Amino acid sequence: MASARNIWKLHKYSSIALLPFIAYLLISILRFSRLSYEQILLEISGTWSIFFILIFMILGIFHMNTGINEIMDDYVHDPKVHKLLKILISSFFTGISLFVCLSILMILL
Amino acid sequence: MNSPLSPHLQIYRWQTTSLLSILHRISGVVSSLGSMIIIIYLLSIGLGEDTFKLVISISDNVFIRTVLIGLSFCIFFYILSSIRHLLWDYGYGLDLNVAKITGWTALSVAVILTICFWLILYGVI
Repeated sequence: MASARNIWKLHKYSSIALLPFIAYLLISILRFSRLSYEQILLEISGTWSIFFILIFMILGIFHMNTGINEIMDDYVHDPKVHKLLKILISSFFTGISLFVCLSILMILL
Repeated sequence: MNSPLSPHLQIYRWQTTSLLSILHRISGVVSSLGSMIIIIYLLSIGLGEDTFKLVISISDNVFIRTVLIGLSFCIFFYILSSIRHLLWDYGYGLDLNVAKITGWTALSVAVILTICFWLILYGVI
């Protein structure tokens, strides 16, 4: 039970940490809507932007994963379905991580 | 798997607080799935100008635009509702009436922020 409590605490801490990141993302979307492709590419390929994307990805995936697993523990009671969904969720987040890393590589190259 | 079972939604009497709690979870799941859309945009930037312009033009489709508006609402509501949950964790706003007021406030502010976000995005304001 101690580990579940720690995960819950980390879930809460990650939500606090994500707040400025989400605010920055939404502001960036508004800013980018007024920029050309070249300007967006220039902004996004900066060291800080890449650092921001990577930290956001790690925090976001952790928060989403713990949150969805909590919902599953509450509502999915069949062990087989639970296991299957866990595999699907893990695959989804692995896919997201891979695509973010791939996008960063393509932006940098 | 040994945790207590949550109430079964189909036999549970709807209340403001439970409705907002379920909406918090739904908005969280939708925002998680919506992260794919942000990654598609990011990937399209990496793939080049033509792909980026194609993705932007697809975004202008009415159906896609409606999905994006719904997603932005979910993100705003999830942020505000998360702040509400964090305040509860520190012992603030636990009174039933206060919880109802903060819940409806989160919902209303999320609607206002969504409208403002899209108006700014369209250059109206």
